[in-house]
Amino acid sequence: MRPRPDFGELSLTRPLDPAMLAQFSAGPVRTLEEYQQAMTLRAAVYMAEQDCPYEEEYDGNDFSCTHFLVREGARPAGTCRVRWFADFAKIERSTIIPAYRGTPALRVLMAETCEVISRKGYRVALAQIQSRLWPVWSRVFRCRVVTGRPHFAFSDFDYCEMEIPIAPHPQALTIRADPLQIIRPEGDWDQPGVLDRSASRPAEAA
Amino acid sequence: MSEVRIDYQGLSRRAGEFDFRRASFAELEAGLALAEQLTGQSMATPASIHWIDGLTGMAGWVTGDPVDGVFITVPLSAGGVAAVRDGSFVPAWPSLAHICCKGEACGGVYIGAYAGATKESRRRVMMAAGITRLEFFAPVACFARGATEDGKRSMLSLGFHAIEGGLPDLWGQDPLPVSQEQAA
Repeated sequence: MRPRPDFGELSLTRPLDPAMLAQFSAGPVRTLEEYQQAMTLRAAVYMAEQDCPYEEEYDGNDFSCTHFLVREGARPAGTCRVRWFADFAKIERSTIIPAYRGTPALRVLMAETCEVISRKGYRVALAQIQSRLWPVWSRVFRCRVVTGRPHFAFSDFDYCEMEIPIAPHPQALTIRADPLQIIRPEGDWDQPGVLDRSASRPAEAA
Repeated sequence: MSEVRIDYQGLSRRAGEFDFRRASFAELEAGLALAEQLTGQSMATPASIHWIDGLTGMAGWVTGDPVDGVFITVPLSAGGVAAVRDGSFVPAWPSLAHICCKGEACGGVYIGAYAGATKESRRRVMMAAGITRLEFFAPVACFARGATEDGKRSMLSLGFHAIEGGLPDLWGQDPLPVSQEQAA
């Protein structure tokens, strides 16, 4: 059973109800199939609903980030991606398909995403949000609009910057973390991975 | 409404004179478990206090090794003070707009918990609470919940009074007289 995102959920305006985590699961994308699911959800929402041009939606950053997916059972419900900078993480392309809007899917997705951000040691996330959606996002996150910065526009929408404090994680991964823990699959750092198992084979001397 | 700029270094130094230190996450776990055991009340989660402490730079304090005393104090923004008074403040999961993040103007203080397991640790808790209130937060109001009869008695001894409305069992202490240079 996946551990509760105790630190990621602190970025939300309310704690997650256990029933939400029973209904939805979320985590980093690790396979090509999951990647395809994430891209499909974004095509449905951004290209079909918002008429975003293909080349603007798939902007050259999809192979340099971490994608996250939220599902109800096996059915993909939403996605987002995170790009990593020196001292902040940037949450982008947050997407929930129409059938799951108004459900806890978004909250579960964001809690699990922030859990990974927290575990990596980041203390703040940035999001560029459509200005018209501030009332929505301010009900999801304990966050604030960055003051003293101009609004800006691209892809036919006005945007502003939103800053989300990330909880300090007591087991944040540092440069001195266990070397085998560091190379486990993203977000699954507490379970022995395939390379832990490989360590039982005799190593060749250099 | 009065506000105060918090002297974080001075506060930490003064708290240290009463053997209090900013708590690590593990120390918060121990301190909050102790407070629950001593008061019979459920507390905010250690993760939540750790989050508040990280943003405010001053929320979670413990004494003793192993921990035998805890003091949770949340600096409030002006909006936070209003929220305490109108009952919309959520102590275990406060809105970002209600807390005074490090470097911001502080409009009041909310004491979330103070408890000590021994006579000596209780003395340290009371001294640290009283002295830091007087020396660092005198210009602003201070709030706490009167969760237990013991708690109410100790708050009475510190000059708190029950406040009608707002959070349940809300107690408060008005701003204290301060010298000109302490007021923001």
